[in-house]
Amino acid sequence: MLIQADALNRVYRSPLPGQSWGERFARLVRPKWSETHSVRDVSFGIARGECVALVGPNGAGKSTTIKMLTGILAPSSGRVSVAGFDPQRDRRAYVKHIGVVFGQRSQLWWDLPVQDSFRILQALFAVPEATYQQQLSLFRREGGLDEFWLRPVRTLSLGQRMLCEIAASFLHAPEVVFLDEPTIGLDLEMKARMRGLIRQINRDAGTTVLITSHDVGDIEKLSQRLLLIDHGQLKFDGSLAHFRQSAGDGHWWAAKLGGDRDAAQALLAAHPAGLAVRHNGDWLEVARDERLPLPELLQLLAPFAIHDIKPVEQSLEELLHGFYLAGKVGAREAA
Amino acid sequence: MSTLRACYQLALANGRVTATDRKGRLIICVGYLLGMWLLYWLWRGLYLNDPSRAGLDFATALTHVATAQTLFAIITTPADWRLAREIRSGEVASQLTQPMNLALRHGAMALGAVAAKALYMLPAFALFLWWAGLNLAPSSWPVALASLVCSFVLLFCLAFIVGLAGFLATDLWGIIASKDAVVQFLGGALIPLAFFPPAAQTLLHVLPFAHFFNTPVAYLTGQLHGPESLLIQACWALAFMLFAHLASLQVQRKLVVFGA
Repeated sequence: MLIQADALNRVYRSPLPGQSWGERFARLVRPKWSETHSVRDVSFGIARGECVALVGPNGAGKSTTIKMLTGILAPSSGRVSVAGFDPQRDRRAYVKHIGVVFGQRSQLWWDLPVQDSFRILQALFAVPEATYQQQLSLFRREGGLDEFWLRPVRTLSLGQRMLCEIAASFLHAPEVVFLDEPTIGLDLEMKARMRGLIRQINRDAGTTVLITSHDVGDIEKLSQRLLLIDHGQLKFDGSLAHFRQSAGDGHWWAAKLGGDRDAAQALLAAHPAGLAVRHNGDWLEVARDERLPLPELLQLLAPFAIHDIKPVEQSLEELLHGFYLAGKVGAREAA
Repeated sequence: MSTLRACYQLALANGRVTATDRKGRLIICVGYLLGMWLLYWLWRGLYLNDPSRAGLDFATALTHVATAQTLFAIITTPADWRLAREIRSGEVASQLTQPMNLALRHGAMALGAVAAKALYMLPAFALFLWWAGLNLAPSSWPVALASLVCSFVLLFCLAFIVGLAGFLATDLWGIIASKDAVVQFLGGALIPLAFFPPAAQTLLHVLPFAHFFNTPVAYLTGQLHGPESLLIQACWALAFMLFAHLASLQVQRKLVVFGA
């Protein structure tokens, strides 16, 4: 595995303020702490060349996990290994093998032209000229980097700046790139362009990508695998297809009928398969199951004048929303 | 070699950023010359009834203070403000994903800013010396320049250590203002250390304070000749570098960067 996280924990300690003056003075000498588990027993492995999405609601522990993987934060316990490095211990040698984009931070120089920022990064990462030109060529060709190559970073639009940030993170041909909300605030066209570039590098150069995003489009278009984290714990690790199958309320047939819907519902409910049947607006929905194939369903509903029939699946966004909501309810019940 | 190239690129970049603001440069130079003009008349007033004070004549005292104030304007860098701001904003997270020591990065950038400021402030300083009829007469330019380098290292390391306090405190204004006041007063930038009692002078020379400004200025103005003070200054510079490095390691070990 290129990335291996074993039983990662990160605990933040913050001092508890005293209630009275006496308590406040006493706490100066002997402080009391409250502990927050930001990440709890998270384990996963990512193979070389994978593109994995790390998702979860705000405050779930995604960014803390990314920071531990990039060597910025030390885990309170547990072990991380990326490309054979301990990110915290070997930080300076390790970061030469990774690229990082924090969507709300910049590694570019605000007052200097884009090309100067890139030259500084080239010097910092000791990138040979040939590699530098080769890595840039894709972003020049597909991203239109040349349009604003000589402009100071402060004059760029958000989309142009993010394109530069992503190009900068790939500049030293890293083995793995961590993208923390790389498409935040971008318009549809720029998002599509960005996703295309990331997908291409992941596919052609075999660069491993770990992306966190609240944008379902990023997850669907880029990743093959989902790591779902909530309340600091890893709740799901698997393919998108598997997540779609296992999360949400399943797959349905939806029929719009001209005849008596209640009678049709009663008829379907009486079917020996015992499938769930429900009204949803103008539609009558029945759970999709091989025990009630489509031809048989059409035959059953034929007397009720079928105007339309379609398969219904929840979107990934709805599935994730349901997942997060269940997590909140679970946490409230546990409290 | 690659580290040196990276330092050069960072110094060049920050030097360019410092030097690009033409209006800012002009305002700084005009303000500086105004300050020097006021300094001239202040010291002229102090020497009106007495040709010699603390063993210094008017020209020597004014040259000392004017040179020290110019040095303060040039080699004092806002590394403390910059680092504290980057820590508070979380920008430091991006820097820690680059293969460079935090202190070295800020040191290279500070050096670039100092070089840029020297380029546009030294002509103003030369203009003032010409107008006031003063001149610098170091007995050895290499020793004086070495002392200037040590002074830069001392001031940068101090600013860097203070900036690291951004990991602990929200507002560093009080700490930085106090540091600047102490460094200027006890370092001989406001008044020459010759005006201090002899015991205090000895103590300030043994401690690092005199070496912030008094030692390089004394070499530049020809008041100091031997290498003893430079050696003490160099020892303090090494100690400050070591302390800054250890502080940086300690702070990074405890690092917490909140939010995305």
